[in-house]
Amino acid sequence: MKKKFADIQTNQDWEQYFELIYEHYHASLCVFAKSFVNDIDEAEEIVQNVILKLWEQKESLCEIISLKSYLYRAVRNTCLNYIKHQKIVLQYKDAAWIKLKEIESDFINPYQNTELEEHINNAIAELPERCREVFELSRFDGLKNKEISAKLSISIKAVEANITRALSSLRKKIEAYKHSEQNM
Amino acid sequence: MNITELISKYLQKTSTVEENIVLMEWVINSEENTKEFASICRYWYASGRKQEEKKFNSHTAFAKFKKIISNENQQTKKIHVLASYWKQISAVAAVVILFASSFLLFNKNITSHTIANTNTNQAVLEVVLPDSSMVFLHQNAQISYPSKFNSKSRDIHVQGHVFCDVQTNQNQPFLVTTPTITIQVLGTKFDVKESKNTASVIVAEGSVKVTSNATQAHVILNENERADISVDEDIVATINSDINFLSWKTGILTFNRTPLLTVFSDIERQYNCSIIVSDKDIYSEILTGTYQNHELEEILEVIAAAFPNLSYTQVNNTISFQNKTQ
Repeated sequence: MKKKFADIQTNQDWEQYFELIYEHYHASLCVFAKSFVNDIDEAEEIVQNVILKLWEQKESLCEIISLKSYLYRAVRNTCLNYIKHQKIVLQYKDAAWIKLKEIESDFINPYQNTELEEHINNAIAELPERCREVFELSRFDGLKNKEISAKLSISIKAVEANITRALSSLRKKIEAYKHSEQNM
Repeated sequence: MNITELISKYLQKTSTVEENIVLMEWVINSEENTKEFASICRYWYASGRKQEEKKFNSHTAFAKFKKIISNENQQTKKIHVLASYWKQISAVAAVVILFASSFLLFNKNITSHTIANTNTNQAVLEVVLPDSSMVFLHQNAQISYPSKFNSKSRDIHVQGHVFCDVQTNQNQPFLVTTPTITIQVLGTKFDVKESKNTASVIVAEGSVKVTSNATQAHVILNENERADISVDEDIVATINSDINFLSWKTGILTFNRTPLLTVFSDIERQYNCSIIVSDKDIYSEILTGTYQNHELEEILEVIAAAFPNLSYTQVNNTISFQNKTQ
């Protein structure tokens, strides 16, 4: 894929170059942005602006060593700025939350790791029935706790408890897998 | 509360300010904690990534991108194109508007055009005007304003429920018109709630002059005063007793020795629910406390805990409070 990008860059066929960006990075950048902001539209808007900005500077693209990390970095910074701005005017996000977001996005490698994902999916499949159901509704269908509680006729507290349970169980299973891999 | 539970709430964006502080202190306490926090976050995001990616349409996004850059290449009316593109998106993020206004700085000679916006979301939409005044739109509220104010006055038109935070500028009065009233301000913060033929204005800071469009009757409102206007009546200023008038924007409900009658009506307004009581005496019970961004259920729990003689039941959006039988 790197070669593909490099080939186009030498030909200076920018439109094709940016089409590749959309094809390969757009969706995962949007998901990344959505972990900061609450709304799908907002996330898409931020990513679109980052790519448009890159278009404006396309002549200096060759100076960017890793396109992928540039894009993720730019999306991260735009999101953080956006949240900070929102915090000032809406006062609904607190300083600690933003700090946690910063730490989290520094540590998280947003690149796709299919092997890890496969293990996570296996671990999810092994969760107890109700626990898995709640976790999947929250993560995969994007339902709010309130909506899950209404759908399954359980209390919000129970929804929260199940998600916490799912997360600690995922953590245990995946740490165990990592550990066994290191010992191999 | 254990740490995984805190992290899980944080990831679902349901944690409170206090919980975030506890979590942050734990996370930065040791490198090990930071790593544990980061790894749980990673599992969370990695588990739903595929499904989440499907929610975004890269083809449409690229089509939009192509449209923007081809228009840009013509080197004309850059801002018009961008503005009309943004108009297609129902909820325009504040960051976009900031972006647009920075374009305006570069394109000073461009003539002004009208920008219209409606908040179709439940969340409050913040609009930054060309003079950096801000207008917060409640659900379904509408605003239209020029991309560049003329030098004599700043005119905007609103409908529905909005809160305005106006930049002070003595030389350029700020005029808000709604179908019912016109509000003239110099630099202040105030809440406007307008619906069919009636309107109310509550001033948080500074002063405004409110004029009825129908009768031209007017009144000057100062801080913490309100006016309720209906088409054919005189306008009278009264002291605002509604301390939670901005809760739709701030998410904060404050009660200070407030009777439950008022508490319930504030909760009904905030959460769009309806609360009934089995005995009217319940209304005179007194509550004090501040609640920020709580779920409805949490507030109800707190109230039930504060009054051991009360219990409640909830069916969909209707909550009924009753005295516990001895």
